[in-house]
Amino acid sequence: MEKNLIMNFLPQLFSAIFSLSLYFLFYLPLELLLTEFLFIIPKINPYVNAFILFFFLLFANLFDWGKIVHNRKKLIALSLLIAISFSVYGIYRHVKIEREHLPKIYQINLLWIIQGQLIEIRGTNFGATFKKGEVTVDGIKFLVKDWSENKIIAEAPVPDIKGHFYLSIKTKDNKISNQLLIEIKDPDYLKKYLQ
Amino acid sequence: MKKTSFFIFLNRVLYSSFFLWLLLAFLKMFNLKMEIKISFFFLLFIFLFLIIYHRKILFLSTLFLNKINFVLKTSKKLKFTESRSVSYLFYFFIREFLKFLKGFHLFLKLILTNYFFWLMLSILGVLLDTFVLKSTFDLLILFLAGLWILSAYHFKFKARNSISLALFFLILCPFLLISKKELIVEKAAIWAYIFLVVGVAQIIIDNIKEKKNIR
Repeated sequence: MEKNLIMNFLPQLFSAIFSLSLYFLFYLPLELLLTEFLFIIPKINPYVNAFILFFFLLFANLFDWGKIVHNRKKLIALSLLIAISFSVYGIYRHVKIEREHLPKIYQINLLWIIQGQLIEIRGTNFGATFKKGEVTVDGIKFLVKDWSENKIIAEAPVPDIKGHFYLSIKTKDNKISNQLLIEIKDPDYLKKYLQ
Repeated sequence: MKKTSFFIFLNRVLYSSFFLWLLLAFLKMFNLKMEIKISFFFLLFIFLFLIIYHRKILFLSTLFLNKINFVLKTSKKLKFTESRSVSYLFYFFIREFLKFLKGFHLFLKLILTNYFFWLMLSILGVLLDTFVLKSTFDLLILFLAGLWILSAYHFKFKARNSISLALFFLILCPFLLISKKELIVEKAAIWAYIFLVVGVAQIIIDNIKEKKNIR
């Protein structure tokens, strides 16, 4: 009777493991790419992740696991898939832990700046207010007006250079953020609007 | 046919969501967090369970209410007609529930005059306050302490019962501190102190009584 009970629930257990494997294999690398490499979104809500896993669960339940469990070849293939997916999760976790505490810039409110202009940088892991770091564009340091964990307001200095450059942030702990393109314009550019 | 296959599919999702919840909780135990709201799957399991087994739940709750009615003698006969119609079961459930409400004052009287109920309430309340509630409510602590004193007085508990409860909470503290559950430690310390005070008060009262008896 106990064996029957186990055999009744075994397909459901396999479908749960399979859905988790699919989540590890397809979703986690995508999430890592979006949050840690492309910086498109800061952090995905745990409810959204749960909802995605739920869709994988629905997909996994479309298969007849009762037959798959009794087929040795399919069972071996499934075991391989589980092993690969858990390895992917291991790699994901390693990379995530390594990168999740790095400062990240998601948005700058201006595409171009001229001297004395204030820019607002939004992101994460910038550090506390009392641990101000540096905002630099091609080696030129900006004057930090306000510094918080998720937002920095900085003033552009008088630059020697003009053109397109990359803006980055260096925290007090010497951690360097990703770089975003910004244009430094000559103030003469505004003359035509003043005339 | 389509309805049956959909029902089978829902049944599969029901159990697999439960297994997934167990699996995620198991992984979390080993600090393998995946930024997933794990409770989502438990709630999904409950939700699907209610959808799939609503007939049986309705049936059992009706039976249960009927049994209470029978015990309280609010209904003369135990009536139940087997029917496959859900609407009839629902009507039956409402009717029996109204009957139960009619005899509710008897039910309340039975419960409120039962000291064992108050004892259970105080023990469950203390456990709930210590391990579940996330903030401290002075009035609740006072109420539960009062309940414990009342129960101890009624059941003639010896002082060592209160003292052993105090020691239980006191022993719990270092282990909870190791596992960094500061809030529970705080609550456990409060209850250790309260039970200790009650125990000591009981010892003093017992001594006074003994002295009086000797005289």
